[in-house]
Amino acid sequence: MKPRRFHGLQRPKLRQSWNKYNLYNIARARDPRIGTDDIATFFQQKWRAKGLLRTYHGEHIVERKWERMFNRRLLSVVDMDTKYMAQNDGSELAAGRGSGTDQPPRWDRKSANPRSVTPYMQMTFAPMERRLDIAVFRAMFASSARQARQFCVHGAVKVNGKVRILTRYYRQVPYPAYRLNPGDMFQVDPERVLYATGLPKLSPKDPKQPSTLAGEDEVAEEALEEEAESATEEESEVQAAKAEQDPDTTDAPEAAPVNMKPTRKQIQDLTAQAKAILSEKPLSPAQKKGLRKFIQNAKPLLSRAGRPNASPTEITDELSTLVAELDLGVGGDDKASSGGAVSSDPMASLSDSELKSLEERMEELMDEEEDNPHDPSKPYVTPWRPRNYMAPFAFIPQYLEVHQNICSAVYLRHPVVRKGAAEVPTPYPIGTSQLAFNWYLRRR
Amino acid sequence: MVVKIRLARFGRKNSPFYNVVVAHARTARNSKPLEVIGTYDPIPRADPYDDSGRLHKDIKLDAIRARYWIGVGAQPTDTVWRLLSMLGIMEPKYRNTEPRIPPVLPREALPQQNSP
Amino acid sequence: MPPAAASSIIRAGAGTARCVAQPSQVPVVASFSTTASRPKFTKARRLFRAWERADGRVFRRHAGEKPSYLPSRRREDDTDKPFPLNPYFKSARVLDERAREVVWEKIMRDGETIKAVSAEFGIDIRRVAAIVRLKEVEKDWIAKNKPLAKPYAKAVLSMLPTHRINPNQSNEPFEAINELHVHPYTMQQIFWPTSESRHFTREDAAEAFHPTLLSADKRVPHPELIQMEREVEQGRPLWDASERFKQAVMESERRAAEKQVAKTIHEEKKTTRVNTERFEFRFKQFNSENVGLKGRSRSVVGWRYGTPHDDRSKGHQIKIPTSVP
Repeated sequence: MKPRRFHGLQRPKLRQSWNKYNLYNIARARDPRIGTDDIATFFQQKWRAKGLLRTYHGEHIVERKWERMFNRRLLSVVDMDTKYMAQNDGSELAAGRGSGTDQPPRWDRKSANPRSVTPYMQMTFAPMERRLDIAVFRAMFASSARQARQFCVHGAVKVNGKVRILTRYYRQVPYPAYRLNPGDMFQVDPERVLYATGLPKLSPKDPKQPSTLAGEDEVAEEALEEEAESATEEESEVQAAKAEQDPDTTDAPEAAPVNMKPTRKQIQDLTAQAKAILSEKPLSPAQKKGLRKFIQNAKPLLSRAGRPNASPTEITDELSTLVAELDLGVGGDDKASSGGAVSSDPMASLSDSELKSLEERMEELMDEEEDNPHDPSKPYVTPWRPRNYMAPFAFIPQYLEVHQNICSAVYLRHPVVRKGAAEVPTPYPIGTSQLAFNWYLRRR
Repeated sequence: MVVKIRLARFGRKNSPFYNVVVAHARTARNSKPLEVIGTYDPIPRADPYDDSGRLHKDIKLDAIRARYWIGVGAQPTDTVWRLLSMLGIMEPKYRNTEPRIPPVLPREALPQQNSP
Repeated sequence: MPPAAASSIIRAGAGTARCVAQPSQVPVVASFSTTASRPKFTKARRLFRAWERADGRVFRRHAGEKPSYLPSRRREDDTDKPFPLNPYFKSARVLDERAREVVWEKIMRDGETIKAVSAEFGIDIRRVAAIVRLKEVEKDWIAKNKPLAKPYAKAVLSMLPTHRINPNQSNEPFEAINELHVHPYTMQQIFWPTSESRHFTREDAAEAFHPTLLSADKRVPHPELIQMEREVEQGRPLWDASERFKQAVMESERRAAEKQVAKTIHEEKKTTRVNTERFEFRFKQFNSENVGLKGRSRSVVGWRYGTPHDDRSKGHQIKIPTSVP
């Protein structure tokens, strides 16, 4: 049998993943309305509901394992108002009973606010959220539950600072089925997190490569477009590097002995970077041409910078025009434009405040560059950018405290339900969850 | 019948765990003993948040009962002997790390060798 | 030779010839196939592409500092619900970097208690403790020059609803801090006859549920906060009451620490450590005669005889470790 697609469009299944097809499926999903419009038996309704929910909640977990995990006890909390508790000792609830002063509750529509419901049934899959792999996914360290599972299996996850959990039953790594306990801290290797959540790199041998099918396949076209975008960003980075070098060169004329060493070095660096981009990135022909031209033109500039009578402003100007040509007419972002403006303007025309802001901006850029450098050895697009279609999936449940800088999180407590909100993230409405809960009660 | 203090293996495959038991010598290893006086976890473990690489083994033992059973003639097996000797309940049997002192020969033997 | 076989050979030959003849026109991936690839998408795929260009376009790249979730079916103002069909799951706010730093400073630098910080900013006690723990790890990483995932943190926090803390002002609470766990004992409906004139308080209610159940006032995470409010009710000035509150939480934290220390000392007293070359042997004294009537009491040490191994039955899931030491 042909295996079904994981993110199919024909028979859509909602998954724990950040895939764009999944987003589309969630966006267009309708309430299954099980048991309202057909004549299914109760058993059939429950069967269908649990099937739907299991495609989302841990579809990689064997049903029998989940059945053992399932617990009919649903944890809930009630917010206790300190002021109210201080004013009353509880006897006010019984005061007046029997003497006719108490108000009988009215269950008409207006007073029964749906917000005041405690959605216990949405907690059906709460025990699943205890699993290490699912917690890693919920903490946004992996782009899907299956990827999170892989991270656990490959030893990229630590629990309480340990790679090995030694138990009575000897286990090597924090296995994906490890059930977190309140207070457990888990850490994921930051490199893996950056890989999982960053924009993926298209390898030159990728079948999606736009070279052959460019005209027909829009996916490929889009990939091309994206690569072009990333390429322009590379260039803007080149310009940022350019902007960084400016103070050296523009300061130079004031000093009598002109030291061209830094400029030479920077030109060399720029050329090397351009070469690196040319070799590793799939670029459009025009971009390739532009880069080659830049490398070619940078050579005489380099030799001129080496001469003793070279004027630094001239060289800077020429370099900036070269870099501006490299922009290829694509709308440069603020980084690029600021860089260009600085390099073409002579130092004298800038006021003090402008200079200061410029320096600040430069420092910012340098910091950014330091934190998020261009590094071709990484398996993701550098400088790092979040992957596409990530934002609509971005939420962190309250039972986790996540520290993104160190890719670590603490499992504070088990997920609970409170008035108007359940902490278990599920894309299905409450009716479906209720049927599934009834299925797992095993009275069928 | 001889009463022994010995280990009874429990746990699972590749994860041994022992009860320290007092039992008749000819009864089966895991049969119900006269008394369980402790446990022995042979897998060395590290302390949490300790990176020194130093490992420890956990043993639970009722030393008072052990002394009593030794006092009434129970015979520990070698492994249990080793554990009990660590607590000073038994004299160490093997692996005496102290430098060996040659036994003093009887005084009469020396002149016999020297004479004629 | 039968003619059918011959014709099949010819056909095959023709096929290969075509393949060789048009490598420049036919895409490389389909060079072995004689049929043209399908020019049209299926309807589902076409709809997907339409969505991707229209409604889905905004989700492709995230811009700005606000979260962007799928629009809700029911009402327009639901902007904190990631799943359109599930109005009961809300994307909760998270503390931003500055807020975490403030919490860490309050506890580690100013020496305030966890409960006091929790009450001040309205952050759950466990969360405050976790923030300090994680912040310590981060500082350790910085000290060791380990690279932090800063671009990732920046991107993720821009996609999440965040909560800021101003250390010098009064802040709105981050979350409900005085939440009471619904104990299973309290989930039963009981018939409890009592006189109408009786002053039936929370204490009495707790006792009616179970003789050992504590009242809600004692089970909440911040009983000291209730006491403070009570003192304010009685006319004590707010500053005085809050000062007393701080004293009370300091006291309760000290008591908890003392309890912990006493427990460790007690444990240490019972253990004898014997160092050998390879391992340290830790002998823990216990009373083997305390075994209960049938010799199967819970306090018995060791594998028990004559009782089933519950690790395979549901409900006694001891094979899943309950803690990582």
